[in-house]
Amino acid sequence: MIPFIIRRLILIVPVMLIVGTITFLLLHVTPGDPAAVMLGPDATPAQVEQLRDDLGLDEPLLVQYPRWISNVVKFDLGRSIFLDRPVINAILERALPTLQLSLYALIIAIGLGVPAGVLAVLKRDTLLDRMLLILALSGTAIADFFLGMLLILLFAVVLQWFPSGGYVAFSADPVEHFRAMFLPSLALGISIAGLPARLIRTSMLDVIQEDYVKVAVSRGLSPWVVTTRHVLRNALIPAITVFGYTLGDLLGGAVVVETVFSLPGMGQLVVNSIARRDFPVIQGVVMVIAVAYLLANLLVDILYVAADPRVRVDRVSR
Amino acid sequence: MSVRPGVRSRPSGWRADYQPDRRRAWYVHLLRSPVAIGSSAVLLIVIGASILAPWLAPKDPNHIDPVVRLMPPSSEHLLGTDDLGRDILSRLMFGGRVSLVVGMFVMVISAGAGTVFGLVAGFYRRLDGLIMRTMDGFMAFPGVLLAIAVVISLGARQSSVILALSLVYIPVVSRLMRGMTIVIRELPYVEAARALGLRDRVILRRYVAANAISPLIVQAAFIAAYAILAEASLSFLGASVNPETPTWGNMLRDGQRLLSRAWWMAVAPGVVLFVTVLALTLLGDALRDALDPRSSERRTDGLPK
Repeated sequence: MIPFIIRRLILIVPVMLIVGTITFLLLHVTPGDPAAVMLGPDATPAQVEQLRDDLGLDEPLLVQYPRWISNVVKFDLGRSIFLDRPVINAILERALPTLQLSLYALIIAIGLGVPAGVLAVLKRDTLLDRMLLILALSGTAIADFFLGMLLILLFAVVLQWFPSGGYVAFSADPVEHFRAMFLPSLALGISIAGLPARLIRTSMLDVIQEDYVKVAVSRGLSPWVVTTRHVLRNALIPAITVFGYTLGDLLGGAVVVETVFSLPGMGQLVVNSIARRDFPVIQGVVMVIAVAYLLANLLVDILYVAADPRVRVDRVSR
Repeated sequence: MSVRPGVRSRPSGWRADYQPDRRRAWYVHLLRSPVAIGSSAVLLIVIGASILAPWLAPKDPNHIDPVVRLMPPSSEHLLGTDDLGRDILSRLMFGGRVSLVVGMFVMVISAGAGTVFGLVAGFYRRLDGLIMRTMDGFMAFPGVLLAIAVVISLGARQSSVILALSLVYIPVVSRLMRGMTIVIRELPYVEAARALGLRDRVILRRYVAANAISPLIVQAAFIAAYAILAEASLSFLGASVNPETPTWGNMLRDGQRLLSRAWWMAVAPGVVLFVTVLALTLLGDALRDALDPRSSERRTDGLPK
């Protein structure tokens, strides 16, 4: 167990370095002077020169690159001139709504997707199975922000059951917090629910062919007991790891959906930065989310091995 | 928006061996599938309406007419007008051009480049680590966020959007093709080709790539679907083509502002986007069933968006 974790940790280092390199390069592929682009056409040459100096753009890349990497390791993602503060502070302040939205959406996606997948297996090769598949594909095909707008139209404009946007801190008012978070979580949750549904279905269809399932059936256990106790349990673990790869999609989706519901999360930070061409903030958010994704997957892999010792050998070499 | 088809590192369910009898029948299978016929028809309508937009569109998509602003759908404006009095149907038809061009180019570029990287990584073990760790690095970024960052750096142009989204999907294709290559590489006919003294390039093209083509085609259909969805997200967030050009995404952005006053402004582009992406996804699914008979029972690759 411990050697596995150590090997897995070592493997993550080059990927992290590549993530850092890609993020660094993002600023430097800009055609023209990034400082001039950021400040816009109204800036004086002196202001541009000042910003070039602040960002260290006049130094050779070979000096800038190691400095960027060593700063990132120290959690220093630079300063935003528009916000007039360190990027990492701005991100940390905005992280909570995004994380909450992702968590609630994950719960909804699993709550909808897993039962749908189980149902599809129980009723496999029937019309219901086909319908569930098309439903799962529809969930994937609808833009999550458009689904959010439809939910606003129905539940906030017409029925007026939920607020159409805004954020209430959990500590301020837990009930209002969940009321405000319900529609965005539902939009994001539905749009990714198709994935756990299909993963569970596939994984269960794999497990159903195992001998122990045949034994369970021949012992006369009811289909329900066989499905839940023997098939689903064994199907969950592989489904969970594949699902780990999509945690990035969850975070990325949260960033888009929260802009529809005016949640003050990292997405809003990114969208505001797009209009201002605030590179350091965009770089910072992209970097932080990529690292969060890598760490989440590391955790999933470790849990996976902890739960199922059989995979210890071949998991590492994928 | 999460927009990256997930890929299993180990392809399962795809045949790696050559079976000519099945290969001949794939289009027959496709023609018998009502889902495939239906989704192809929908796609043809969308593609036709977009290509013929300059001739078919009832109005000039950028013609501003304050007199008819925020008109609900009527016989004069079939899908209504927006807050500047522009005809929504006409804007949708022109907006389709951006979506389809982006979807097509991203599909071709990422399938092409991803195949090369995947074949090389799978065939030459020494390059495998370097290539695949780089791909892992790219895949650590949520697709839309990486694309936003690239578009902002390169400038908001259609070519930047295409490049940005290709960077998102190249790793997906690379992983798929590397997995296929590793399986095919060990098969007897590759050994035989090697024994005949064929060059690596020929083996890769004629034996490895040729036998990995079916999953690639299916993956390409999904990539086109998700690239269109991702472009809409970028436009929606204001990180795509020039905002003067109508796109489904920036129409949705305009619609969001006036959601409670003019629902049709958001619903029209949203539904067209949904129908187009769903049709491509269903077509991809039908292609998978047609190209690989085994997968209809065990649909293996779970595809997240």
